[in-house]
Amino acid sequence: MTENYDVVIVGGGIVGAACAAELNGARLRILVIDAGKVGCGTTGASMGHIVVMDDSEALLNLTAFSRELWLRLAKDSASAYEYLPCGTLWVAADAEEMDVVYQKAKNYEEHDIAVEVLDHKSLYQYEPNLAQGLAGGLRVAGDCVIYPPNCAALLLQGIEVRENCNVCQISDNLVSLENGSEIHAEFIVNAAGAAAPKLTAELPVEPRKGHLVITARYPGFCQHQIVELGYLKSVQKMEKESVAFNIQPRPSGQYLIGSSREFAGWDDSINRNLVNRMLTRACDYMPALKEMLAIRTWFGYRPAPMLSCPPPPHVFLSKTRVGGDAGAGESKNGGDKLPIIGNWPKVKGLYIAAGHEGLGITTSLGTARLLAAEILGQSPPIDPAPYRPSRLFRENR
Amino acid sequence: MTRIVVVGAGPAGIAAACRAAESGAMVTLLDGEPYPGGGTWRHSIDYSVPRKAKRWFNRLDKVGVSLRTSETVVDITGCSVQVQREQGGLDSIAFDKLILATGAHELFLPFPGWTLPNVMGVGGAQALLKAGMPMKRLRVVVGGSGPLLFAVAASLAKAGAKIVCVAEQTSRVQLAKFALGTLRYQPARMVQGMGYMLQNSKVARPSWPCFHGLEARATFRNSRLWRVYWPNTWLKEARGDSQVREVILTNGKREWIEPADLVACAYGLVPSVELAALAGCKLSVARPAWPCFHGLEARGTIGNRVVVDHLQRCHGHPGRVGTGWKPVSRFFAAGEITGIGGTDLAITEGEIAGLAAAGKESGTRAAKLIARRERQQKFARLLNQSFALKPHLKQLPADDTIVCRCEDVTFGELKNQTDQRSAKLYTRCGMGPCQGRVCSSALQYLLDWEPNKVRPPLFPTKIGVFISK
Amino acid sequence: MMKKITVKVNDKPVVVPEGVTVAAAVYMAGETAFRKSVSGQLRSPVCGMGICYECRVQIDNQPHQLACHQLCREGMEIRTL
Repeated sequence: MTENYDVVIVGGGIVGAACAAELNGARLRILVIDAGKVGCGTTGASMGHIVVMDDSEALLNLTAFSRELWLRLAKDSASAYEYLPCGTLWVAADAEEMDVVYQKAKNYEEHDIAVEVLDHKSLYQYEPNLAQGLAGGLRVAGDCVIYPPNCAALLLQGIEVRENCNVCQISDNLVSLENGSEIHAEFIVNAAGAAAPKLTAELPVEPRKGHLVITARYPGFCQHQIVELGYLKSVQKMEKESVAFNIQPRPSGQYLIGSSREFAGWDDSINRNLVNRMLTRACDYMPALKEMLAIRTWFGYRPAPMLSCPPPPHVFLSKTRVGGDAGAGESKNGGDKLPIIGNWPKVKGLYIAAGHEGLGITTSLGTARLLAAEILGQSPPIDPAPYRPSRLFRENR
Repeated sequence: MTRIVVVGAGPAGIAAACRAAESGAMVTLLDGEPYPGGGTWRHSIDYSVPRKAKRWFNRLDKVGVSLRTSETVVDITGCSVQVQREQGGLDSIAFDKLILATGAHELFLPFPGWTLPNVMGVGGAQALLKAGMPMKRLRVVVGGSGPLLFAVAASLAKAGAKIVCVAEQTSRVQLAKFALGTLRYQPARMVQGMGYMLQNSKVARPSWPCFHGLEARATFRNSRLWRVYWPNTWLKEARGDSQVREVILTNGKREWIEPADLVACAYGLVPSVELAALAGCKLSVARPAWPCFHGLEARGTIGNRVVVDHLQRCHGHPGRVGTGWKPVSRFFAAGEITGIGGTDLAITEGEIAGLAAAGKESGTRAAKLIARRERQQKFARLLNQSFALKPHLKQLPADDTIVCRCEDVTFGELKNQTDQRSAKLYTRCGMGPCQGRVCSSALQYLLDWEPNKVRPPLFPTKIGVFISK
Repeated sequence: MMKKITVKVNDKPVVVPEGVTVAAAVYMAGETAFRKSVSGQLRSPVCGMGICYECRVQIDNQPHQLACHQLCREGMEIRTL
């Protein structure tokens, strides 16, 4: 028996949910399919940090645009999304990192993102619990935090969803389910996160595991999502394992502590050594964390884009040590590290919304707008070219 | 010398440690509480422990076991356990064999008002009493299910509490069967039970006429405990302001109010299998014993239990934990975690596990213990069948009754969810410091949900302790 | 005869037998509420054995301490709610 829909979205995580919500206004019959419960995969494991990232012009555009959409969406139903306008505080450990701060400030200001450069004094005025001896930082007040699982569910309100349903194949205008049935659709969106390559074999996306630790409640310890500048390096350098300090205050008064990155396939155990390194790093930046109780550790699989096409010149960061390396001696360099959004020319009706690495929550709304514009034949809100799947076939390396 | 680590210094753990040490192994016995004894042989500041417990404690002293209390196992990796010490710091204790004797915790079924101060568990009330909580003159309602109810009521009465009633949900018929069975399998326990029932106590006696039911029974007179032991009765609601003041009891046909300064209520025990789960030991979903009149075996109760073979060896799935961990021959489990069955069975299982871990499983001693265990398991089955929870208890919580106490998540928010994991992500149920121990047992009974995957740390652990390894 | 020690519960000195738990000391001080839940409800110990985490109090300025596990020490400062 073959069912018929206008749009089938495979993946009910934040990206799939955002795409569904965006297309919902266009009077299309939409079906969202998820292998489990919506928002309970990588989305459920994630931090929910909405952050503007300036690794590249294209990433800055996408994250800035998406952040604006989040601010508009979450402000109206702040409690439903558990919206917390805490801002991001990028911490510079020394003079060299302060140079990065100045460069970042320039990048952001050129794109109308309000920032505040913090010197040694003002850094501690904002966050007195930071370790002594740090140089300063960059405060991005417009960044915020939401709670991803509920956001995905909220975005999917009023949309037909099929949970605990496995898709085994996507072919020309056809979605085949594990139970044998098939669904015909004019538009199919592969938003299956780290599992996207299982359905679109050539998608260069790999699981990049990340751990998080949550503490008991200690209200008032920190106000911002605090991230060390080395975080950027951790994202860009394709090391087998890396950690970078990242802490988020939850509305509950608990603290989410990250971050770690590792290429471990689909390994489903806690990497104690890596968690240890991650927490040690966190305590380097905020020593009082040592006294806090850790309640639980968990992990998620970021869908990391592993492109072989060369990255665009990292104009902003090429002069500093936190810039993207060309993978000297390590595993693949991951290419431009941008998500893959748009029509997949090799399969009829197929669109991709995948490869968001650690920015899935942030860029979900922007991704949805881009995708909807392409599907509905409207003019795109930002330049879609850098994210197009067609870039994967341009250069064969 | 075989290094054996025993986790849990209750009857099973103590028995295991003694047998293992006597068989020549180097034994470390760990417990997170300040004193050994677990639940049944809990240390008490005023009252002495049972004679049997004293004998085992003495034996433990003599055999040279390294007893480490106030040390909580928070993780297990490869062939070592990581313990958090009360005074601070983390220690890694290597083992050749591990014996899990982590016991059980009470099943708390949520009912309206159960979160009021002075509403606690039955074992909880006993634990607090033994730790020094003053009970004199408090009007106590004991409720729930299990032989623990009258044992604890007797303890409280001895300590000066006024027992309003002991409300046992199981029926008179089941209780009669239990009494007869106990007489057959564990006559000593029967004597003990009768002792509790005959305990002199200030109990609430009805003011005549009482069959109209709704008047508060405020008169307390010296009498025997059995006079206020009411089968087929359960707590419908607890009411109060800054603490509990009164309860509504019911027998399914009518309801009535009783005064209460303290409520001790719990519906039996659930095996504490988190460490076993983290270690990758095979667990079995224990089915409730209802309907038991078909003779369906009810070896387990609510909750999951650790599956063991005749030598108390766990079954493992290779590669589950860390690196370099080898399953089955290294892991043993004894006592309530293999299924609720009482102290005597726990001791026997502990002895077998201790002998087997030390390589002495083929002797006559082990054979005798195995035979003893067979007999004791009959009592365990009787215990579980007699006190099987009636299905109507699933109707206890109202929509606004809190189920997850750590995060204040209500039954209304949960009943439309489909499973523990997504319910946790959507409602925060299970995200608190009890790590789902209280709510997931209740939800397993109420909604048939499997508990969530266990992750380290097994108990909230200071981050500084985590990184000190 | 059990040795007596003095602890403070919410700044009030309480004489308790040595070896009692912090939970017992709180009850001996006449308090019934140990902590406030996340929505502000009063709570007290339930399990008595370190499982339910409802007995959390502040001991010597350290929050989230299990009163049912900790033994009283001379001069200990205990704070509820």
